[in-house]
Amino acid sequence: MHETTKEYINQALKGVWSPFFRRRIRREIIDHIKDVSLEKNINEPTAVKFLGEANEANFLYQKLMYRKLKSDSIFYGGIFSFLFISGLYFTYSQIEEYRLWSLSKYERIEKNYKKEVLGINHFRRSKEKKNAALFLDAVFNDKDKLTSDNFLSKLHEFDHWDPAKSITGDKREYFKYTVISPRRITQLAKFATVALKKAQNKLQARKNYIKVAELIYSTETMAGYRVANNMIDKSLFDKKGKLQFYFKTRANRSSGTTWGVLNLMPQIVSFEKTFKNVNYYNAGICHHSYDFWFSDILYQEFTKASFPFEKNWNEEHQAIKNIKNKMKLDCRLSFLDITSPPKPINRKSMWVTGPEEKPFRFIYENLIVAISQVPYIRNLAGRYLVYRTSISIQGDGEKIYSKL
Amino acid sequence: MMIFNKELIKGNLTTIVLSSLGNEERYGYEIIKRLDESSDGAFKMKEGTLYPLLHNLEFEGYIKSKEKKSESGRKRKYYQITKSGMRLLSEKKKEWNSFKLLVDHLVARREGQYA
Repeated sequence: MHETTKEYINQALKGVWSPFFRRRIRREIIDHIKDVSLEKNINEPTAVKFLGEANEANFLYQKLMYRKLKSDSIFYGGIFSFLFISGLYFTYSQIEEYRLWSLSKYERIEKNYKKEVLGINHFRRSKEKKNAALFLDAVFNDKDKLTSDNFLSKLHEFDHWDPAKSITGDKREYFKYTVISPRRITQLAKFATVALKKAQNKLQARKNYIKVAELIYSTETMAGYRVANNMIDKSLFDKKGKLQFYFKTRANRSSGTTWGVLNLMPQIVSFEKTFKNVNYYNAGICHHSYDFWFSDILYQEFTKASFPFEKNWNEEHQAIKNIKNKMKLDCRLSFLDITSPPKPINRKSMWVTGPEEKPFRFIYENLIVAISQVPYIRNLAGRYLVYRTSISIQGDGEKIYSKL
Repeated sequence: MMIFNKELIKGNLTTIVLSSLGNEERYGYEIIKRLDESSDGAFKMKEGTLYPLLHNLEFEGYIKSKEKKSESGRKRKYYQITKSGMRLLSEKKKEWNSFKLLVDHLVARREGQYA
């Protein structure tokens, strides 16, 4: 581009600060100069002269830019205001919905639910005499892949699986608790799931499947809890959606305060109400502990609130801590003895996929970890995490353990 | 060649530019060329002021623009009059004709008085 053209453009764009507008004007002027010099067969500086005074054009461009910005701000401002008011109305209605929820209605559902699920005694505690660790060492190779395909029925000989007694296998620190690689757990769960799907003898395959879930549960690892829960969920859902009504009702109820913009205490109060139901609390205590423990690690990230005007979450954090401490006393699992979570948190320390969970969760969890460390935005991430916990506790993650 | 008063041109620029667009799609320099040709060189517009005017007309919805490849293969912005632009042009034309008649009438009467 010739110096004269550059000078003209700079002059014409003086005070025009809207980047989109500047780009458009610049292109227009350059195109015009090209057209003129080609069609009149003249050089660039002469073509620039035909444009006239740059100051005159600059005055018109500035006037136009401010007019356009004014109309844009009315348009976008209108949309924003509408969304903001709708958001407030939605939040208000959600909180009202929560307040109006009839506790007696909830208790009726609770009663029916318990009648159904407590009858299914999936995870009866055994005397734990026969450990499957050595047997499973034999069916896994060095890379923790299953080498045998005919071992499921033999698992019935064992009553628990203590991976710490394994001789082979990749052991790793997992929330400061040394367990066998979660890969073995997920491999085993996947294997049992596929076997159940392909089996001719559904009854036997189902027994094997439940046995695998039970052994995985007995590992007393977070990975074990997560995967066993997932397996049992799937197994129940297979029963022609018999329990879906209850799951759905609870999920709906917890969503009542999901996106409360004002505060999260109603959500936490609802946790507390749920746990006041002793039978229910006992039935799912270790699973709930896992969820709270897991969530609390993330909450510590987003409850920092060290920047100006960031919401202070101390009240919520303290309430969650109280619930967690009570659970810690009530659940005998060793992983709850951990006092300091790993830092910095990363996806490896956060999540273990169940047999039918998709791998993209890792990306999702990474994203959540990243967001929970960004000031201001971490508030939104935090709200979402509380929502996740609530779904897990009151929604379809509600687990079906008999009393320990 | 007669040189017209700047203010007179300024007041009628919208009508002139919309008329020069007619029913066709034209790019910036083409509009200027057409104005120059149809006025036999009497109407000289500063090319730099055409684009702010086109922006303004587009913002008001009287013309619309789209990028197209020209015969030479270059991408150019072409302008076309819209329906509301047509309506505006027809109103402006009516207004101009009435104004012209009025001025003619007034000037003729004056001339009669001094004759």
